[in-house]
Amino acid sequence: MVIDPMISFLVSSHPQHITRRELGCALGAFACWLAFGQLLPAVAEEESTSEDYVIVSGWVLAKGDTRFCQDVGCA
Amino acid sequence: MIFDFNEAFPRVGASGRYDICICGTGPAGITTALRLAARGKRILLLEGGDLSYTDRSQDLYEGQSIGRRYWHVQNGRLRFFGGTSNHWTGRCGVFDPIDFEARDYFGLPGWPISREEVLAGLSDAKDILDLGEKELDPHAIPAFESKIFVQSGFALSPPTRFAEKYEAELKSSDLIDLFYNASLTDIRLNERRSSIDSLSVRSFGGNAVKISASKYVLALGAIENARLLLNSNNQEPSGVGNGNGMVGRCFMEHLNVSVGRFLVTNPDFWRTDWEIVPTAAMMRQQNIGNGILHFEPNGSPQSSGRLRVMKQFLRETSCALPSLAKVARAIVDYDCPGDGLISTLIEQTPNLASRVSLGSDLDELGLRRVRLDWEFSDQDLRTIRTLAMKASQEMARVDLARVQLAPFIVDPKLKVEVGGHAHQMGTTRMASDPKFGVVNEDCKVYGIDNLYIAGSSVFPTGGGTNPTLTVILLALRLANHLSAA
Repeated sequence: MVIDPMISFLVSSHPQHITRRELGCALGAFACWLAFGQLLPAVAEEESTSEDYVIVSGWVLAKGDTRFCQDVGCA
Repeated sequence: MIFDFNEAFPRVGASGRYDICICGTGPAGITTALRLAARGKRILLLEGGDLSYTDRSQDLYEGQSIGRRYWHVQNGRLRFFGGTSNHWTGRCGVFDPIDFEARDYFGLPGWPISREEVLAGLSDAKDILDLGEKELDPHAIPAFESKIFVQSGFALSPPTRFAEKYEAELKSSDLIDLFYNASLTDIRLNERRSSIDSLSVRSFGGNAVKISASKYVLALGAIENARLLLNSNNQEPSGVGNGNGMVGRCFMEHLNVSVGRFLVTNPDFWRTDWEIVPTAAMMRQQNIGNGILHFEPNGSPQSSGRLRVMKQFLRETSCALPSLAKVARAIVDYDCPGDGLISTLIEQTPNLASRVSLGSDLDELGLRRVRLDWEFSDQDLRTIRTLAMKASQEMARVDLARVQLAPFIVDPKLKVEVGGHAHQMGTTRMASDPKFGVVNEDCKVYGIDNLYIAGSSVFPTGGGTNPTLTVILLALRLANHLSAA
C-alpha cells in the first residue's frame, strides 16, 4: 500500500534507468533483509560458554557484555 | 678472498690448505667463517649460487610439498651469496627461558643446552645484525593488566644483508677463500665411515673437484642441510648421519594463523599496534607452546579501484555514524577505522611425522629434489586455539577490545587454516641422545667425527620468536667450539 505509490514515483522519476519490476525486486530484497538479516544477530544464541565468558557469533564477550552485540550487530 | 669456482676451480682442490670447510654463505655460514678466521683458522667457504640471484640456481630449491600446503619450499629461501638474508625482514627476538625447559607435553626432548649458553654471545650477535639497544625480553604493558599475557620484546635489524655487509671483509681476508658457483653434491666418508674424507663440489659448467679440510660445517638452511645429508647415500644407504633415521624429521615452522579480528573499545590504548605473548606460567598451566599475537588496528580501511575516493568517503562517513556502521556491519564484514586484525606467530611442536625427505625427480646437478611433508599435531592445534581464546577473553576482561574469532578457532570440527613464516627449522635437531636428534650439544653430527651443522636445522624446538638471532648466537657458539678444539 505504501510501497506501490513509492515505486510509481521512483519509476516515473527515472524511467530511463530503472524498471518497475527491478525496483520492486530491490525493495523486496531490502524487506527480506530487514526481516531476517537485521533480526538474526539480535537473536543469535550463545555458541559456547565458559565460567566468565560467552561466545556469540564468534565474538568473545565477558558475561553481562552481550549488549555489545546490540551495539555493533555481531555480524 | 672471493673467487668464481668456474674460473678458479683447480685452486679449491688443493688439499691441506684449510682447517675448516663451511658450505653456505647465509647468516650462519658467514658468521661462523668470520669468527673462525678471527681466531686464526684457515677457512674454505663454498656458495652454490652466484654473487646475485639467478633462476638457474634458485631452481635447485624447487621441491614437492605433500603434507599441509607449504608455499616456501622454493621461495622462502634464496640460493646465492648472502643466502636468505637477501630477503630477510629483520625481526629479531631471543628465546624465552621456557623455550629451553623440558616440556613433557611436547613429546620429544627439548634443548640440551641452557639459555645462558646460547645467549653468551648476545652482544656480538647484536653487532652482527646491527641491532640497537631495544629491550629483547618480554615486558608488561601498563594499561593491559594481565597475569597471562605480556608485551613481546623484539628489535628490528635494518635488515642486515650479509653479502653486502661482509663482502669487503671476505675479499680482503687472507684466511678465508670464498668460492661461489661451487655446489656441494656429495659427502664422502672414510673407510670406517666415521669421518668425512672429502666433499664433491661442482658447478653448472661441469667443473668438479673433491675438496678436503680438517673439519666441515653445513650451513645450507634447514631444508637443504637435510637434503644434502640424505642425498649423500653412496656409502650409507640412508644418508650421512642418519643412523637413527632422524635426518629430515621434526621439520618445524612458526604457524601463521589469522585467528580473528577485533573491535576497539578503548581508542586511547590502540594508538599503536600491540604484540602480546603468553607468560610462562600460563603456558605451563595450559600445556601449550609459545607464540605471538599481533593486534593491529586499521589506520584506515583499504579501498582500491576507480571509485576508491568515493568508497573511502562513504566508508568513513558511515563509520562516523554508529547507527550506519551498525547497519553496514550487519550486512557485510565491514571494517571501520579502529577495527583490526590479529595475526600470529605460533610455536610448532617437534613432530616426527613432519619431515624433509627426497622425491624421485633430479635437479640439474643430479641430486634428488626435496619432498616436504609438513604436518601438525593435536598439540599445535590446541596451542593455536588456546592462545586465541585466552587473548580474546583478556581483551574483553580489561575492556580494550572485543575479538571475533575465526570459525575454525571456535569450532574444533573445522580445519585450522595455517600458513608459515618461512622460518624453516628442526631437520637436524640437537639432542643429548642420538635417538632423538642428529647433532650433539656441540652441533657435531652423531657418528661423524668432523661434521658440524650451523643454522636453524639444529633447533630442537622453535620457540615463540623469529629464529635469525638464535641462528647467529649458535653460529658464534659453534665457531668458539671449533676454534678451541
